[in-house]
Amino acid sequence: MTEVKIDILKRALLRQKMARKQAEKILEDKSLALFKTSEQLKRVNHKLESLLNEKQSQLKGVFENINDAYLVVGIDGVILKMNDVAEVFFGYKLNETKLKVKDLILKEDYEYAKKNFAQLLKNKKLSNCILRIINSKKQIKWVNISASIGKDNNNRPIASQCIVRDITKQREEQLVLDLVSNTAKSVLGKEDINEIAWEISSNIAKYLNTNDCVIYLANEENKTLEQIAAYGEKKGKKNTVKNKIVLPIGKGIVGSVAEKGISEIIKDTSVDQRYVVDEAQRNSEITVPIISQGRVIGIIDAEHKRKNYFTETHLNTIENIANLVSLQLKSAINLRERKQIEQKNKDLLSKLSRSNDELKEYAHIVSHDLKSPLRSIAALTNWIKTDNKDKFGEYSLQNFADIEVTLENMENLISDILRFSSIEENDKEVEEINLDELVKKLIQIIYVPKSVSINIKNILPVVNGDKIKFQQLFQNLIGNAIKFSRTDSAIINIDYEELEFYHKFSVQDNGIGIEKRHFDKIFKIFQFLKKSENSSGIGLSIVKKIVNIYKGDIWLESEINKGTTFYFTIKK
Amino acid sequence: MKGIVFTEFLELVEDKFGIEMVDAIIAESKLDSKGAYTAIGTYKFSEMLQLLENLSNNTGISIDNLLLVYAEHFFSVLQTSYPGLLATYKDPIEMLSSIENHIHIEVMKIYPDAELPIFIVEEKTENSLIMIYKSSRAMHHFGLGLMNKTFEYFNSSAKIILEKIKEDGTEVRFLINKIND
Repeated sequence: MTEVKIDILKRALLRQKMARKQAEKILEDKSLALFKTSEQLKRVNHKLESLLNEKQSQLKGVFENINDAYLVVGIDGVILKMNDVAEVFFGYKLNETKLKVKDLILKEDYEYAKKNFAQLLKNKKLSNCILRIINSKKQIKWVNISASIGKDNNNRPIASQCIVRDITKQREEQLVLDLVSNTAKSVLGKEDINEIAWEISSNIAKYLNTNDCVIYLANEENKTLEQIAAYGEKKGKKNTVKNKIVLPIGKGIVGSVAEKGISEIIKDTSVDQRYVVDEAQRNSEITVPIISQGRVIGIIDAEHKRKNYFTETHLNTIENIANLVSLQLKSAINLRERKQIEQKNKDLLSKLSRSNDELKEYAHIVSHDLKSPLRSIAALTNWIKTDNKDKFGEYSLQNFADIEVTLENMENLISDILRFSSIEENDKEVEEINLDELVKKLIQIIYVPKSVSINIKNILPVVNGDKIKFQQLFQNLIGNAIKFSRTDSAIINIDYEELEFYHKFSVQDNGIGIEKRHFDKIFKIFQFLKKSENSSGIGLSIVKKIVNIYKGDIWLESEINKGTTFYFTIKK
Repeated sequence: MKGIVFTEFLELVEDKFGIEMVDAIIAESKLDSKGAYTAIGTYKFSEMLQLLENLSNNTGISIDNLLLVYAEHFFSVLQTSYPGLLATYKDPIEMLSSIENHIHIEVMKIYPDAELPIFIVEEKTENSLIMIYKSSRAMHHFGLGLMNKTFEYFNSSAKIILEKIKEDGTEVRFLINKIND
């Protein structure tokens, strides 16, 4: 081998050594770097692990210590985890039973739950989802659910965390509050019994979630209970009760509650003998009396087809409602009675007015019909007298004279009767009357025999009333005084005295007087003491009627052969 | 530039031209590394340039052709060392078009500080490919050699045209058309 070649090879070898050394160095460096990296990795891992543990225990803490039920539910609906509260609330243990969300939700709310779950998947969050669950003891509870979706690293949803809060009690309380306030509002201001009853029945039926609620009204006289309002199946068209039942107090559960005045819950009507089937057999019943002033005035009765449906809470609430509405109901009942009485009065009044009118008409007709034959007789007798004046003897002529007088009396009687019957209160003809002037005029008009003198002792007042009536009144009294005066000097005194609330008048004569035993009789119609030409027997009764119209009184004092004084008062 | 390029190059030179040639081109170059290269090391690209130039001078073969031959040899190195990589491809066009996105990424995993050229696919069909090669090292013929060997590996052949976009060869367009037989 040549030197050159050896040198070349030497140099090549050297380069190889150097290259090897480089490689080794690089390897060492790389190893160190790797080591360092691996250490760092270990540290980071460690940190991560402890962080994870921390998070896990935090979560566990939340999971375990939360007061609400906490569940982890898989996307397929299988329940993966439950905390203690959830286990107690739902009544299941996951290590004993496999559970799906479906098993816990009440059938009626299942559609609603499905909709909400879909929303949860879409929005990743759900809150205030309110529905009913059913636990292992078949109890139904209201809950408020909040949930969120948990995802894996690839952002795919793996499960949802749900917090389930029990709001049953809260809801019940709210329902009761709503019921009371709604009932109060709807009943307030209503006066009609039926309206009140319909409001009560529909509010209560909604609260109890039943479609059978009936209100009965108690009838004290017949001792019965009548259905006056209903909600649900008993409700007919336009607020009527279908197949209305009337129960005697004491019959059935409703009747016995009405009798005792104590409300009842019947858990199973099939074992209660008192139960009366109405529309259908229903297995639970709740009956509450409405009491006013210690008496049962109505009954609230509701039924439900499930047994054991009604609770103490329901009872308390409905008793409260019964108290609330009893006052309103009682006043509506009173109003109804009052209206009935008013109607009766109205009917009576119109009957009376009709009677009156008929009577007046009757009197007119009768007097007219009676008067005309009288006139005929008068005319005929007159002609007979005239035609046969020279043929008749003294006695016959006297008889004819008597006939004429009698006919005249009869006519007067008829007129007086008519006048008497037509005297009535007539407010329309009220005017100011100067009695002094009236009486003076009267004295001038009527026939006063020469032997009679009439004096007005005091100035008579001005009064308000009907002129004609006062004329009649004074005319009759003065007329009587003249009629029953003595033949020699007769004095008639008219006097007036003002009292606090009344005007007091007196008409005094010194005539023949009236016996005390006749005092009452004389005011009665057709009673006359002395038959005379111009006396029809009605005069004083007319006077009395007029005095009564003016709310006054009439009485007399008299002594036989000394005189008579008539007193009467007129209200101011 | 990664040491493996140098080590394989010198081995090829030794193989083809003898150890004396290796010694000569090293002696003729001013090398910081003194010609001692290890595959996992990193050395200045200018050293490769010098070696190539001196080799070209000593052999009379153009640098481009030297690179072409080298690349074709280098391909077998890749084949031996990274058979898994090549196995992921069923088609040469497919493989070449994914140099940038796949192959070079894999290379970076092993040699994070490797300086690799950028390939931009301008057009691609089932049987053709137009790519832009960008590299400050302007070793486009190295790329060409690898491409030839790729087609050979898939028992296929292609007509490849090289268009210089920049005169210095730092930007070149490859127009590759597969020849269907």
